[in-house]
Amino acid sequence: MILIAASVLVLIPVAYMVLASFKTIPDFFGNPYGLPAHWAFDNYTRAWTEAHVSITLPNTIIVTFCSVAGSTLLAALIAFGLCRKERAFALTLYTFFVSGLLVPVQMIILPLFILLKWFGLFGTLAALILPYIALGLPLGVLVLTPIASSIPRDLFSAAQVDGASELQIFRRVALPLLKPGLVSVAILNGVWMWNEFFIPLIIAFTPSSQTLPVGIISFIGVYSTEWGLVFASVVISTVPIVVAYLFMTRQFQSGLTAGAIKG
Amino acid sequence: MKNHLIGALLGGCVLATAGTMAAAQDKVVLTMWHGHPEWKNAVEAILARYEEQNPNIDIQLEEIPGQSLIARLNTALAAGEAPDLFALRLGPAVAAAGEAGQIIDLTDKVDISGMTEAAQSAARYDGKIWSVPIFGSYTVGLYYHKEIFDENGVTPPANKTEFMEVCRKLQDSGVTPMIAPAQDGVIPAFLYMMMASSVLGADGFEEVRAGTRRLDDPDVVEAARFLQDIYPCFADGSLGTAYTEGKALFALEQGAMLEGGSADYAGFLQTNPNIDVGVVPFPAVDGGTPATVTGMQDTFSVNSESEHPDEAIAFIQWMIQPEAAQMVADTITLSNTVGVSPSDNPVMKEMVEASLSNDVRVFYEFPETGDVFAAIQENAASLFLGEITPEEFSAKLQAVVKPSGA
Amino acid sequence: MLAQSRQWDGRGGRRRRQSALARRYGHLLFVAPGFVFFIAFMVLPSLAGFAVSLTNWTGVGTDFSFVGLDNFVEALGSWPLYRAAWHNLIMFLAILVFQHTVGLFVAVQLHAKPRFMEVYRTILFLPVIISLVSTGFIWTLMLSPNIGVINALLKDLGLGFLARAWLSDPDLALATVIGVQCWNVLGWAIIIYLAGLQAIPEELLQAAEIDGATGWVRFRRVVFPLLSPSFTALTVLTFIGQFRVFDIVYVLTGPLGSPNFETDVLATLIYRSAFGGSSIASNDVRMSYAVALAVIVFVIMAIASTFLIRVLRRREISA
Repeated sequence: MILIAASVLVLIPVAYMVLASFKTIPDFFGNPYGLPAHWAFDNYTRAWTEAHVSITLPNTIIVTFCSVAGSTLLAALIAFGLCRKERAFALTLYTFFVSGLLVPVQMIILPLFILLKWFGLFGTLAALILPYIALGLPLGVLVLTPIASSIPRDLFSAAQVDGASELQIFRRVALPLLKPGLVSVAILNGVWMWNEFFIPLIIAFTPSSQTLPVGIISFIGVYSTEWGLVFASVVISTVPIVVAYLFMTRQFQSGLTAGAIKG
Repeated sequence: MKNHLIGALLGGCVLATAGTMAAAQDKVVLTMWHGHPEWKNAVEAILARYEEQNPNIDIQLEEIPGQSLIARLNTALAAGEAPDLFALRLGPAVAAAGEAGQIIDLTDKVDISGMTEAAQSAARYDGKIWSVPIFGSYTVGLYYHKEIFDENGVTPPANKTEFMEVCRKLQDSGVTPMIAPAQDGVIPAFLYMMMASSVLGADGFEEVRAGTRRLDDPDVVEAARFLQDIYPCFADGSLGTAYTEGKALFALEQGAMLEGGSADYAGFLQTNPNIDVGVVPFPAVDGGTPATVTGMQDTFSVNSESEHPDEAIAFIQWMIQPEAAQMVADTITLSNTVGVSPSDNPVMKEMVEASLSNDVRVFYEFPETGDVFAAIQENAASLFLGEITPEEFSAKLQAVVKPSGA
Repeated sequence: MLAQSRQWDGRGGRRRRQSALARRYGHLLFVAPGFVFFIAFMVLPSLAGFAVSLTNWTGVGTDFSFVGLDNFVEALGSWPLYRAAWHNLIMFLAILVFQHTVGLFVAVQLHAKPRFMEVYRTILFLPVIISLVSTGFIWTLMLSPNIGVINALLKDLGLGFLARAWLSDPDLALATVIGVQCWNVLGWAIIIYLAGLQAIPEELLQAAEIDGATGWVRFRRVVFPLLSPSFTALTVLTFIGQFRVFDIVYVLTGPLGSPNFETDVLATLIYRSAFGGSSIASNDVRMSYAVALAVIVFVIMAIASTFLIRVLRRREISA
């Protein structure tokens, strides 16, 4: 019962958005909550072409995938490196990385821009991917380090006895055990990277490097806004990530279990 | 095996990040940022005309809503990646970029003699031309729905007493007198500027800039009192209503009046093609002269790091010639070019007429009164809610005036 | 550390061949790649940002001079900073309570594995996936007193007396923003608590049952203490989320945190100081001051979260 109620409460706004995405401007304001008087399917075709979805969608997929992969892998390496408190600087480095969660992005955006330009990355997708990898690390380290610490030591020493190098231990022993945590980090970071608006707005404005959220706001005017188009593009940009979520749900569930234990 | 797959994918990422930039162009590409996505079609039509006449030029326009554009433009400018053509906020921002050499001094490069006096004065800053208002200007007055007024037997008010009377009559018959989307404080700021201008006039405003007149002089305080007194005439929820929503509500006849500018009309039509509105100067404080205010729409500058400065300057010059100016007047807002008036648009003609009696430049385009706008934005809500008196409100505004004489 | 090494030495022959240096600092090789990224794209820009806060740069042009800590002194002495921080605090506390009551309750219901459990779970997680900006747009329009569906729905249900100007009534606006955020973050609470619940071994629950504990008592004495890692994780995430909240507030109530700054938060204050309160004109814009505000927020959050984590960990240990 309570679940049905909660689901309905969650779905009303979503349904509202989907309906609105099929409305023309007069219809939207004149008839804000009924079914569209006439289904404006061309909102979708216009959103697709005018927001350059054919460019921004692949860009967003590439950026999100590469950033998630890079960030999660590096965070896993760090977590493995720091998983034993008695190691040199372990706690210091852990705190150092995690404190990155608190840095407001407005503070770093301009220096970041200049830095990326120095590296000659401006105008490429790397200008988003590299900062995203760095910005994704704090959460990754926060979630993964406690999980790595909870791996029984005997497993590592047994592998050592077998003559495995540290890197082999990481790959064969630690990584599989970290897997549930990796999935949760991937989803947590993936959701914000997919939807991030401010960073690409500022540093990824060449036509070939734009991402979905920035394309959407090109429908929001100062004097008037075509809400149907805005919501059509929101729906377009949400569908891929919902699909990805459904795909990963099972993984995610077990992932957060492991994460939450030592969260 | 799995690791190889991941390795391959990651390798793909490295390749993806290497990214290739656009191929060679045989045309001169000018990049241009503009803050009005709602005018995209109109602006693109103008650019297409220009490209037709100048086949070697390709202008790449990007429309980003104003507030987001500022964040992007300021950062890009500081990092040296701003486009060839862009509009900074008139006033201190243009001056700062000019002094820093980030924009080209257009003084001897663009001929603005064909522009209106207001546009020329807006373009000049300390005798130099740093930016040119190529997308016209907006004049702000009071829009009203003719039908609603007729049905309720009221006529457009000319002063506060009449306004309050109209407001009462409309309320008595269940009509919302005024839509005032006050969420970001912009509408209250325009209301105040028109009310104060009805007392000050253009000359009095010059005196405020010079420091010989003050916004907290007792007669000017009446403008703040007017602003406070009309709050009950506003639609429900005005304090939280966003600008664009309010304009749509007015277009859909959810209220009888709206403070609005020439640039708003195209948006009304988009929402309600059958709209029938008139426009008059805003009612005066009793004893004053009804006023309109006029501001420049977007004043464009040329990036000093542009690779094609001559082409960019030529484009600016073209924009203020009658042909482009006419297109601006017909599809966007009032033109800044002398002799160009909107064809076939009675509402815009009314707007031009309304501005003939007592039109004052918007306060924020001047260094002396630039901060007044922000001060109104920040304090209007507490004035409406009665947390501060009109006297206190006026004192807060005067406190940020930096008189040129001082 | 010493004991550790000796133990390894005793077991594996390979260990001995490793130099003392590698043994002591070898793990840092794993940290190094991430460390380089972090320094390059996070720490260096932060330090550069901090340098800006020591000047009077407005954000446009190249004219600036070094003013030392003036921006910090001004910021710490300004009322809007405390007002915004207070709103962040209220949001944090309100959402914290919501997450640990409603969120937990729904998670417990889901844990009972009702039919269509997967469907419910997916639906309830949906708001988390939809971007905050979009969430803001949807709710702004739904809450509008003029065209919004909420008031219309209330009237149709005969509850018209409950209709309000949700986002513009100074007494209601903050609560409304909190409400929208609850919609948005419920998914996190459910997922995190559900994960915690699923991690509790069945035997423990059965043992409690044998001891005669049932229902509420069993939940409070046995289940809830075992959920304390979830409690910690959710509390920390909520804290960080609520003190950084920006997009949703910006879209719902604008750059001024309307009405009359009742919903102004730290991030909107910083944004307004950096880029201005409207696109038309806002001349009191100082990038350097905005960055100083950001640095202050960072320091306060760092102190608060350290404290928070310490308290929560202690609670966990004693639980």
